[in-house]
Amino acid sequence: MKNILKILLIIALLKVTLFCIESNSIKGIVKDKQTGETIPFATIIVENTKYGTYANTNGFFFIKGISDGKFKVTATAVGYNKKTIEVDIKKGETISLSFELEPIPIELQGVTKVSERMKEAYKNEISVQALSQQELKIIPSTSEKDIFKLIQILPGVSSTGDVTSQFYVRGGSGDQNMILYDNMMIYSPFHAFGMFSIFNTDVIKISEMMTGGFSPEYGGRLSSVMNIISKDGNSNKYSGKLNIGNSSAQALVEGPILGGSLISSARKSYFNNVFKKFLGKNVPLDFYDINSKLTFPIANEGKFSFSAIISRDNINQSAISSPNYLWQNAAVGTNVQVSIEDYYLDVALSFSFSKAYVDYKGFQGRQNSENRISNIFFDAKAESYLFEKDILSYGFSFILPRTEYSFQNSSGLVVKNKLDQQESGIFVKYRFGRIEGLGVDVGIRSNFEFIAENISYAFEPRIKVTYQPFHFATLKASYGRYHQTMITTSNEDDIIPLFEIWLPVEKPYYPERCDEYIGALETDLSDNLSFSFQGYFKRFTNLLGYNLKKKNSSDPDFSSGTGRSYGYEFFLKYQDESLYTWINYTLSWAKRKSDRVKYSPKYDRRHIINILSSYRLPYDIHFNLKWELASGTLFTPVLGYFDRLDLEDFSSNNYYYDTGSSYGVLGSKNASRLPWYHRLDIGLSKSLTIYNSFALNLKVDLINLYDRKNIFYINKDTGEKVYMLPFMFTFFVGLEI
Amino acid sequence: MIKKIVSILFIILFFTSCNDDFDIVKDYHEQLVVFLVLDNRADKQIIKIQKLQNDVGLNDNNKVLKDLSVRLIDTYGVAHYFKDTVLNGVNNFNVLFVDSLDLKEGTYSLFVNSGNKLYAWSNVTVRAPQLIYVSSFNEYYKINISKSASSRGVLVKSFVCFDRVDNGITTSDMMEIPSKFSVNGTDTTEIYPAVEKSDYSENKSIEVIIGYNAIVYTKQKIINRYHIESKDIKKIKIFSFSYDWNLYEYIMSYKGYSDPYSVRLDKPNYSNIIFGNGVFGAIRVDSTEIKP
Repeated sequence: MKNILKILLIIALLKVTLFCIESNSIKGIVKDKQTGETIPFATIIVENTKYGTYANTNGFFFIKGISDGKFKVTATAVGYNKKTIEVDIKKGETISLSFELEPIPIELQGVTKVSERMKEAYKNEISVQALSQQELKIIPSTSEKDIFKLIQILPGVSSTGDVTSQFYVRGGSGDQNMILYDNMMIYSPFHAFGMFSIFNTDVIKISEMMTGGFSPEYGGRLSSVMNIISKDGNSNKYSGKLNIGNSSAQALVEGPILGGSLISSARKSYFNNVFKKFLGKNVPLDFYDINSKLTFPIANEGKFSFSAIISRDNINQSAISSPNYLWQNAAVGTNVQVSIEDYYLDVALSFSFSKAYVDYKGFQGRQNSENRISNIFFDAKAESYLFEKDILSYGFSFILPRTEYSFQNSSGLVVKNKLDQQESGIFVKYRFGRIEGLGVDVGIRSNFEFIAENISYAFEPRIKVTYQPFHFATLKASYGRYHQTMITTSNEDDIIPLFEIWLPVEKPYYPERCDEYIGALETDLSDNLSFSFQGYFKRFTNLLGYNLKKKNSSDPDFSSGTGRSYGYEFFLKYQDESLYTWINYTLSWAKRKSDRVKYSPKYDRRHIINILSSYRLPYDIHFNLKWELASGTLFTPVLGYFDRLDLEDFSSNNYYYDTGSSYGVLGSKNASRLPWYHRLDIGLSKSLTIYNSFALNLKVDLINLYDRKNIFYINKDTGEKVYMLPFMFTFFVGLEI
Repeated sequence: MIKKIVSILFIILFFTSCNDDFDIVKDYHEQLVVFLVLDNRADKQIIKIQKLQNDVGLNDNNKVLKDLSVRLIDTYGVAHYFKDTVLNGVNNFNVLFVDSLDLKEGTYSLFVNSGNKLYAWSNVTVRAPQLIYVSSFNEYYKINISKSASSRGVLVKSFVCFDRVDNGITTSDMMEIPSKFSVNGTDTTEIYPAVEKSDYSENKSIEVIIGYNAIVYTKQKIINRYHIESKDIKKIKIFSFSYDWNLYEYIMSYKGYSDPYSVRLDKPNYSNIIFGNGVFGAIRVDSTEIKP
């Protein structure tokens, strides 16, 4: 801790001595006039000068290096009327501005232009997709609108089926994705066996999905960072929403409170037929979730917020031979974002908790299973705005996870454990942006892990370069090294994992590591058409996986392996006043080697094509379409079948008269591929205004329109093919006040 | 634009509505599937043999083999040849037997041939008998069983033995005593012992408790079911089943992952049959009796 503080002090002193050139500055915040909600990615320009910038995800902006004099500063954001403020700036002065933009009614334009706005704001980033509320609205949904379902159709992201929201990024496993919700680390963000996420889409302001090239402020995961930022809530008036869908109902309220704002939503399941279609069996599943946030403005364009998220799923079964299941998530956290002089500080402290419990009711003497992870996360980072567009960022974080589990393994032994881990990280990054068309981010991150009196140290260099040789084309490249010390024991062959245990990586194993190289080209082919290409190569070391050669129960459960993945991603987007369409194609390979066994993980899908489109019909009705085509997932083929005998009980003559049950002998791991997956979903959506302050949102979707029989998995013992979702009709009715 | 979208949709529908056929069996080769568990109690050692199949649900005729030759070489190097037999209701296996085999401590080797085409072999070690000690306490019996070095799994079962009369004929019968009970509200579930790992590295005996309450419960159940008197209940018989390494690993690989909702595709397959599947194992069964 002392060393980390010393290093941060040195960085701050370096900044003061080397870069602190006295210059004029304009900083401020951009807000929605009606709701008081900050507007991310708004454009702020100083008229008739070269100076301008974009607001960050919290609506904050900072412009440095302006000369003395009078200027007009204009803020624009699509969906809002622009606003101009005149300023008279004097030498060495920093002026604070607050833009309150008047919203204009938009529907489809919101989708197109908001995404365009995001693209500009992320022009110095690589492999980042920001997803807005508007994009969530157009995606056809099977039961719940879900941010994870949108992520699954991004380039470089794959999944293993309709039923699961688990996603795999550029050849990485599911536990290599970091999920941050208002800076709270969520470990198992799934409802209903992973069918959809616990995040209520109505409270999400923006989601950043980083599939690679992470800035040094992010550490602890190898493959992706998903940063979800929730809305602050309406600070001017009370409003609400009531939504009814196929499987659940949800309510949302927001409004001013104690000088700040509150937003809170609750969702409760009520209909099991949808689950039956998903799982092919009647499951008495019940779930709810609550997402809430309190936000208070503080001085210096700052805000203090308190977020909480709670979710619970349970299956209660009456038969004594049928176990009861419980899954719980809870997280609370505070965030402070404030601007002090030319620094922007972002400090977060959170506690998150995740639990899975299986109650076997003592049936056949089986012990109950329990698995929980609790985590304290502290994260502090600062951005210091230097000469013109140069930015120095630095910060540190502490993660204190505790994992506890107790279960009866396949050998009948009860396994119990409790592990405390401490992980701390420190980073510094310099963004060089003073040369027009060239951006260079150079940074390092150091991680320290303490567990069971062992200390491990990891050093992570990161570099990112963007170069714009022509106004319509940008070249990008990045290198990064990442480490991961918390992993799950989930087996990728678990089609529906019920009991996923998070574990710290302990001696004799080392933290998992990934070296990642990315190259990209982004072009605007016309005003309406843009195209991007990305190529990546990732090399994994110290990957912990199931011991594939385990024959005896005394053999270790895990083995350390290596891996690599590489691929190419093509992304084409068209947008005009009526049509919004994206088409992406991913060609990728993922490979693993463990105990001299070479294989590709199940989610290694060679080709993936996704089409998402929304077309505005007359009467402001939107026609939405999503089509996915992907190589089948890999599976382990069967070498042959025999009738397997149960040889446990020799107290009777069972052995002699047992004719056995069919059993498939497995061949080489993941050596075969299922047939192509493809599915077409279409839908119509319409918003109706009833009186002045009521809006009715209607949405109907036809899922798997041509009833494609996509194979979910094959029961190796019986040869039975289990299919994914059949043709389905889904509806959604929402009332806004 | 609408026409274009509709046209594209029709093209997609035209090309994609078909469903693919494919086979999950790959690299199939004919193999022998062999099950033989040497049992010290048995008059006849029974072996079951089947052919590995290239599809699920085949007719029984496609599972059995012709021209089978089965040899068991005992610990003195003497070959014992198995003979064909039939078992009621078992038509999906070739069933062969060898009788009058006096199992001794030592290694036994099994060789199976089907004509000149298929062959498989394996070894197993048979160990010495186990000693069972019974101590009586206020509320339970304590059973101690000596451990064999080759024993990997152990199962101790206890039974109440009784005589019952059916149509004027007296028959000896027995009913298993539960090891414990699970009470959930008004539901009571009897829990019976399962195979447990016996760690050969720890040189101590295995200890099992039989509660008097479980014995009384079982006796009452017998009396209620068969309408007999308490005097017809003769004794309590305790069996110790000691599984050799191969048999234990086979059972554990079979029993694992029994969660009703989890769907796992990587079920482990344990076999010690070279060039084949199944298991060649040995079980040592010892017993003792106590008067209730």
